[in-house]
Amino acid sequence: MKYVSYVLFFLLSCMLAQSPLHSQNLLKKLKDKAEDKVVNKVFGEDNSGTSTGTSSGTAASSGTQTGQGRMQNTSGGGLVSTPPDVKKNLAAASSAFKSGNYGEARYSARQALLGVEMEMGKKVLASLPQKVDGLDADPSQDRVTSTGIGFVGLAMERTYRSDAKELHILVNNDALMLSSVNTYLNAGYVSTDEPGKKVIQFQNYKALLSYDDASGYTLNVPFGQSSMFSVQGINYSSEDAFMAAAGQFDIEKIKKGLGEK
Amino acid sequence: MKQLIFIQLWVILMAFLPLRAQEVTTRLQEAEKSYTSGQLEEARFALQEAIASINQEIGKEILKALPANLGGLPADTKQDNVSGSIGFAGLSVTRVYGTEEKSARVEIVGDSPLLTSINAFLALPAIMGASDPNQKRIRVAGYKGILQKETGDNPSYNVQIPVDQTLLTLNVTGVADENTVMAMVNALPVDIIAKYSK
Repeated sequence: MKYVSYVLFFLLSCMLAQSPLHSQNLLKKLKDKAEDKVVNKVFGEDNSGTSTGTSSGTAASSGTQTGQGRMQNTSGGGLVSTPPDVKKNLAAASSAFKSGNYGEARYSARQALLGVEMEMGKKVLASLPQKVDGLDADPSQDRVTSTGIGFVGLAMERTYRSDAKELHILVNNDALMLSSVNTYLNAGYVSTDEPGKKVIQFQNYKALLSYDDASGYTLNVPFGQSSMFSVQGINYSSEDAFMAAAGQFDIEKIKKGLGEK
Repeated sequence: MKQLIFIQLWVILMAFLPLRAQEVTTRLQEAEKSYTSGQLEEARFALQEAIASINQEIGKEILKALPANLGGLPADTKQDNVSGSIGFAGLSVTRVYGTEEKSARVEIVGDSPLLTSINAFLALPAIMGASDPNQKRIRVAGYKGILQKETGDNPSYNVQIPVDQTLLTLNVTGVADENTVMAMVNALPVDIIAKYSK
């Protein structure tokens, strides 16, 4: 700091002593130097040419850095994935509505809805088998998505995986995409000789089975008034093998969990 | 006699006005009861209905706040429309102003699917107007928006302003002057719309 003050004082003296044109050149140089310093500071570079910007050890083990670069996060418990408190939000919605704060009332009601849907989704996921066709469920891939609006609706995902095969389950409720599959199933576009697609009967539901080399087998089963069960099988050797795996899921059970008729 | 009729009408009106409000409260109570008894699907349905009813109330408040006259064009309140569905767009409010030659249509859509693309567009000021000379960014009550001029035999302007999670759209037909359109946009109660769109 002291050094910088001396330099500034010196430069100021020079500027005063020199012609205006020269002063401008000095100012420019000073400005450039300051800019360079800022850039170096931001990007963690050093003028000396030494590589002090690298970490002192593996990030996972130490979590510290000796240089001027940004520290890498190596610890922390992540986010708390507790769904919104339904009762608390219901009370807040009721109270806000009574006092005429409709915006607040809607927000709290939506939060309560989100809480209810998250609970429903988790219940459905819990009802799915833990092991299918020798593949274990990967709990880190379990997802419940609720938007409170019809485009996505309530979506539940689970992945079963081994080194060689994967089975991905998606249950959608109140989803817009459902209408396109239903249109496809009802319009009779699919004929038995159309490559890659066919209509089949799956647990008493009309379903669409498709295959392509890139994504493997996919089974879409619309059920209830507005739900769809989808299974995607990767690296399944045959349709029979895939259908045997898909058959281990009980649509009626899922339907009950969603309160569908 | 006239006074008696007026009082009777007022009593009837007051009796019907809070119906929707009662519905919201009832739906919220139903939701709580169903949730407590573990009937999640019932609770969900009751909440969806409650939100739709709250949206209706919000829509009515917004309609009340909209001017009765916009840029000299009277409101055609018969065409006022509030849709409070919980579906794709959620809240939707429409009011039409106009005469035979000139008209203006105000639309307020909550959770509009267009919001993302409009916001992305507004975030790139360098692009705005460069590709289309009839398009420019505007600022109304602190909110950025897009003003689009449609040239042709019958000139029209389309204004889109994202207000938090709601899209405010004004479509003006038969008005050739941009300043008149901007005066109309500035007369809209953006702050009140913002209050309800959070």
